[in-house]
Amino acid sequence: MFFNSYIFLFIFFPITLIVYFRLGRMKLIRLALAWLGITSLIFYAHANFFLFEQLPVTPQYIFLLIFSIFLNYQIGSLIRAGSRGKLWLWVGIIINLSILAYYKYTNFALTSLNGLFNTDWQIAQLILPLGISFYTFNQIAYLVDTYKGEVKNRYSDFLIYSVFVSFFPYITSGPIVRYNEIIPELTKLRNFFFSQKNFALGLTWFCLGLAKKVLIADNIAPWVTTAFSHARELNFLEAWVGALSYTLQLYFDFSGYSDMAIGLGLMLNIKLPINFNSPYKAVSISDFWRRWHITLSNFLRDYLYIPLGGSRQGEVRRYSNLLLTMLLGGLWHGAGWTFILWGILHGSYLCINHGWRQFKITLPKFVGWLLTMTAVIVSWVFFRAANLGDGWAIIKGMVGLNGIVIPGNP
Amino acid sequence: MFKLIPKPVNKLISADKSKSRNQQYRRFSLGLLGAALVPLFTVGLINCLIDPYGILKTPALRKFNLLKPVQDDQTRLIKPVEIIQLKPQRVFLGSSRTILGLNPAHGAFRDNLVTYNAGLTGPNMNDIKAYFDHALLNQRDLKEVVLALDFFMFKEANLPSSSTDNQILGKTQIPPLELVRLTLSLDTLASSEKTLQDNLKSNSSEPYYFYGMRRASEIPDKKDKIDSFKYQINNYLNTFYKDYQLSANSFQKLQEIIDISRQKNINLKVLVSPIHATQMQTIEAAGLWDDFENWKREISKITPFFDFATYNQITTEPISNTMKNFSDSAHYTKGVGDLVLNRVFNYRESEVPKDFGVYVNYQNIESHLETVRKNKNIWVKRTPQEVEIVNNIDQQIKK
Repeated sequence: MFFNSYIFLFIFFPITLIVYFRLGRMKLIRLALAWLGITSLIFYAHANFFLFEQLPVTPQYIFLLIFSIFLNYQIGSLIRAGSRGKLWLWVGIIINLSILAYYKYTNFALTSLNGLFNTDWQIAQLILPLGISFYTFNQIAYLVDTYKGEVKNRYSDFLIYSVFVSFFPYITSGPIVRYNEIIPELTKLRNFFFSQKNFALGLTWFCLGLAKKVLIADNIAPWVTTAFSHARELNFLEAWVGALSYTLQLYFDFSGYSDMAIGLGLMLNIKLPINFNSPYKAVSISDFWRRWHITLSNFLRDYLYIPLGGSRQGEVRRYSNLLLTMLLGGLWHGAGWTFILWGILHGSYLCINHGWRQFKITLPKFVGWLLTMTAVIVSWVFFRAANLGDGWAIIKGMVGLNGIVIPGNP
Repeated sequence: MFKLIPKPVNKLISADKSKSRNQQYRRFSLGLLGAALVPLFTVGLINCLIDPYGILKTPALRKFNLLKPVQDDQTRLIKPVEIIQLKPQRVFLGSSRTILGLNPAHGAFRDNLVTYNAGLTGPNMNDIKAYFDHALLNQRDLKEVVLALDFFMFKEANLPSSSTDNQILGKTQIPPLELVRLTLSLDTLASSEKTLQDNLKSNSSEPYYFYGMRRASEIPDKKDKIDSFKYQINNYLNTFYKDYQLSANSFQKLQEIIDISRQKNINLKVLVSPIHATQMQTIEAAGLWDDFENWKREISKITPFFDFATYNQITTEPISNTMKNFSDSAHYTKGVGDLVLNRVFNYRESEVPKDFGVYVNYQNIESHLETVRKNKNIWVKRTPQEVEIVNNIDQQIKK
């Protein structure tokens, strides 16, 4: 179920909220936590059965989630317990990434190899398990934090861990959360009591998010679909309308959904990290990445860029690390060449951004904003296009290579 | 200074402040919920009162909500709902030709069986089978089915059913959440507005639909009949007859309907809908005449049927603004539909032209096709101007 569906708004969430705080009021804290876990699994199961009508139902993915929770919890315990912490950390990371890679990239890899070697290797079309990208990253972060000793022993509880991974506000679409951010929220006694303040704040976040999604994003969506499904026929204006519409749709849809998740968390007294901070006001690309999908950029920075060496091993390594981090970030969004190119573009933008800093010339804010937005819009075109050819066609339209037709001209 | 207020009193003041803040938050939340829910429920109320799809069965009032124009675009939503509500014992299955032509209150039906016209716009055989199953699910004692087949329904890779179908088809009651979704939706509100406007403009005192049949008299006609014909010919050449291939799956669906009907003792009447001679010429122009014959051949192997898509007195009616039998090349009128049902149910057969509706089975199919071919040649020679209309449109498309 989506957060904006009637079943969620009028049935699922009110029941979850009422029972949760009722149990809290009765001081049945473990039961209240178990209730959150159960409702989160129901939410996930419902989504696997009914979310996308055109896709077959995938009940097996509920078990995949449960297996993943159980496995990572066990590996976390082994890391904490013993001398082979590093080994178990790597085992955990490899298993998590292997599962993610299998479901997300097998079909893409086979199609690419078949195209490259003119072969016909095939497997049955795999349906991507819902939220696997998010819960995999959440759990990898947990394992790394555990290895670093940042996860306190008193928080190593299977029930709490299960709720941390499966919590319904973020299981399907994020934000990406860290164990240390969420667990204190799930263990404070006063958080099990209804708070008028948090409810009012949460409701406001939720309504704003809902309005962003339903009133803005969903109404822009038809413009986007029309433009991108006729990518090769667009003239100058149509190409820009398509690109700008998608730029707006993506922001209002994704940030709206994140705002709804934050609102739902707050209503349950659980503070989730903000994910967007007016990204289209950014005046440089590094500024953009401090404002767009903040939890993902933090994850990529802390668990990929810095472990790769970050900027500590010279300029060449810094640039290659930036490129590699963003390329993998692109692949995380989806299996396809368009996502890879999107990642490379953003990696290159960041390299240029860092290179420019060496000249110590500050651009006027407006110029910085204009350049940043243009670069971001170009990258979104490839992000949304069905394939690279379509993406190029739209870019060609945007620079006027497909002709400039002024509306009203015959 | 601080000691002037003793500690317990301090606590009381703090508790009071906290209580008052909580009340403020509570008021804010209620206000916000109200601001969000009042418009939503207002939309719901308007939609309930106008009931633009006719599924809530709100009383229908003249000049308000009696006419429901949006039903024309929502047959796949309304018909499954009405099948659930009416539980018909006799059902007509077919395309828009059936919707416009076959009357559930035809004189041949002197029994008291609830009869429902479940024709759909542009269905394929998957749809037909799904509606057959839906009717059977909602009426275990389904007595009779009239199945009106069309050539286009058997096209390979025809579009799947619309998503609205999936929510209601195959169910014995309307899912409550689907009802809530429809009632509170802004699309339904737009339909309500259209309904209201249409009712205010029209003086009609009868609803557009009668047990699933569309009253064609209320459909605004093109000024010149020839334009309606040209429009449909163009439409079929561009859509249904484009890249046409017969689908084996469609015949399988037909076979399943036949098998289930036999099993459940349902009186199944199969027919091929009448189409105007220019529509058959369109099939010829699209290079599909052999497929058209093979289609009938394959049906005859599965079941006997009445073939109305032949060259006869009705289908060769010259195109004119005063013509009685067809509203365009693809759609016959209710009068013709009455003759179809007369023939199929042996009712007042004397009123039916002798060459209209041939009973075909696997034994006489070849001679029947031969006769149709001969009559086609005669018609082509006799009406070169109508043949030219089709050929001109075809050539324009091919350019």
